[in-house]
Amino acid sequence: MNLYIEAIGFGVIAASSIALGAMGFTLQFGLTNVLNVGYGATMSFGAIVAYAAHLTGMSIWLALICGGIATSGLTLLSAKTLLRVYAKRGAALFEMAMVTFGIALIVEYAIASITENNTFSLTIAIEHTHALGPIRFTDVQLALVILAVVVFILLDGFLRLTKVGTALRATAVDPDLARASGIATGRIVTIAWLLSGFLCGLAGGVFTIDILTVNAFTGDSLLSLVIVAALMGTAGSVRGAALAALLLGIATQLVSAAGASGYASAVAYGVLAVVLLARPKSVQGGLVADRVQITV
Amino acid sequence: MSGTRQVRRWQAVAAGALAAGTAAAVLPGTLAGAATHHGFSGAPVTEAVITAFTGPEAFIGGVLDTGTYPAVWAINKAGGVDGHQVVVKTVDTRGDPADALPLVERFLGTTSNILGICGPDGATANQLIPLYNRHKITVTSDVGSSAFDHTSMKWFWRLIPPDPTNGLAMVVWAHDRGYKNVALVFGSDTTAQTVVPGVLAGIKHFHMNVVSTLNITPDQPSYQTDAAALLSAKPQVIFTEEDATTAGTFFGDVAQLGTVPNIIGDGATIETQWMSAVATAIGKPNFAKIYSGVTAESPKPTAANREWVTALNHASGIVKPAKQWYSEPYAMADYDGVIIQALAATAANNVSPAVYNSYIPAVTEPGPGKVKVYTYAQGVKELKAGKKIEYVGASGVIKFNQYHNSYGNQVASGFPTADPTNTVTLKVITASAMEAAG
Repeated sequence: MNLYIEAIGFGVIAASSIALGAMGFTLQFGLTNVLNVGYGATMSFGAIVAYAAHLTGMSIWLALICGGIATSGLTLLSAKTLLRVYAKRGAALFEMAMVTFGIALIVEYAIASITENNTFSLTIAIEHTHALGPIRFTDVQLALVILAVVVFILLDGFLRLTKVGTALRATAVDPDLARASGIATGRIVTIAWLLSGFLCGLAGGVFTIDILTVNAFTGDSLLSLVIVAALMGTAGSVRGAALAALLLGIATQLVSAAGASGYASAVAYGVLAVVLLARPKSVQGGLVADRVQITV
Repeated sequence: MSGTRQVRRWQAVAAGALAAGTAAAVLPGTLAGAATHHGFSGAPVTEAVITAFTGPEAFIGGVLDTGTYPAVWAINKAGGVDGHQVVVKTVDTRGDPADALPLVERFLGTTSNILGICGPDGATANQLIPLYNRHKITVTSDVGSSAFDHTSMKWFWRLIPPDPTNGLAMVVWAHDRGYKNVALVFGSDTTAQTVVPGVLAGIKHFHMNVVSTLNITPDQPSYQTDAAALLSAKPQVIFTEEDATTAGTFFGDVAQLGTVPNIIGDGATIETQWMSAVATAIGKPNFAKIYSGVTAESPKPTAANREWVTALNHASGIVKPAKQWYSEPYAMADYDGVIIQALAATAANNVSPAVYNSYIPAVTEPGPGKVKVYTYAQGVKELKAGKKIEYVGASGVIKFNQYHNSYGNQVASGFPTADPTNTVTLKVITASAMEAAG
């Protein structure tokens, strides 16, 4: 029984990186309608940049910010170049997903080439281990959970309480109406790419701190859970993504506690299938029902 | 009307292109078939390294390259094989049979002068080795799968004991240390699982208690619950193999939760990336104290070893520094495999595997009146002088059984600096001890 309670604690820790990634993904997908299956590669990029920054002697927390900023730039660059070209040619949801897949391959294999396909290990001193009943966690793990919660509160507040946040939500619901209402949707979309890219890089870095290793394909391990959490929580909903990430983190660890860790990711898809059966429109978010409107 | 004519013209052009393309695709394969029977007079011959260069098993590619390039350097330095220079070509299986089969079929169909193959990785061995056998191409291999323990495939030659033997040696070593309660932590991928039958056989023989068995799926976001389950079972020792990334994450999770038990890794864990990942995760001093690795015993220093080191230092195509490979048993076995192919071709006066393959025992088996040779150049010299030879390689004496497998002793080693080149021999586990336990 203790193992199951412990698993819940581990689930909360695992949820920190899933939640950060899912918040970025849902923001991106909800606003632009680009199903970015290359998100895992971009997380890897953020993780590698954070690792490289940490190697220069920078504190791991500052390195995380560096990873986020660099990924933000990469995301905006790919959106305004490759994705824009295809969007202008009328590419719809599926075609854009394939383009992001192509970008993912370029990014991952470029990193693999530069790093000679090595896996790097991260050394972070564990100063204290805390116990809350049978649940154990280290200082670093606690910091990761707090970071995810703080980012969630800031992002949710930003979206709900600021003018730009309101404009982001309005553009996500109906870009044409938002434009007609005087919102500079182009600028708003740019902000969405930057913000989602930052969260993506942050998720990659946090994930690396959690698992202590990083390579060109690190983000792919997290991708399926991030997408499932974003879709489960309703595309475009940051609160939904965070809650779904928490549920998924705990569910996957409980599956491991039951001795079936190999099925942890499969369970995530099972949960998604059940959610879709109950709420089939949860994946639509800001999509126009009859034709997907890509906003790049 | 004009539009219709234009369409027809394009149809004709397309048909022509299709025919040309088909011919281009088919002809090399046909020529390859022809060359197989004529020994490719004068042209360079190809040593193919076909294994995983990317994906979770990418490290295998590095090891096989390290065996092949120095061997080819030594062969070419001695004038090539029967006058043919040797070139190396690589094919990346990505460790995935679905990717590997079409790639390798295409390679075999378009490469007309294959001397032999070095490979494959464990994940694609069951598909690729029968394919080579059908094509009658010699493959010298370090693959660990026990599926090839009693094979009847004539073109397959294995120079490393199968993985279950390695697993058995791990248990003999644990028994020697007095461990009774053991845990099995193996990656769920094909390569990592090949050791397990040997481990289980040894555990049964020594009446040990398996307190925890974890088949961990590579690249999961977290193993913390698995780690907690492992620690709660209180094993004295963990038998293990998994890829470096998974190992780093898993043992890091174990270390965060408590004291890491003793670890006995198989031959695949004696590798820079694995050691670096685990040592970083659990701390270098702790790693030096609790980890030992079991692998095939390195041979006594001979002229073959000196040639191996020289070739390593001169060959391009390997990951430098060369020093890290000096005592790498898999790379040495792969090196010997290529040298054996070339010696057999020299003995047969034919570089076609279909012809020279049956000469392999003739250049490796000991026998009365045979001259022991330690390098390719020595072997060629003696063969040209009409002598019979026994090649003793960098990996030691090579003696193939009726199933084309060559076995030897295993050794348990410690690694005080978490560096595979800095080893301390803890115990030699003899082939007879393993036979008694298995």
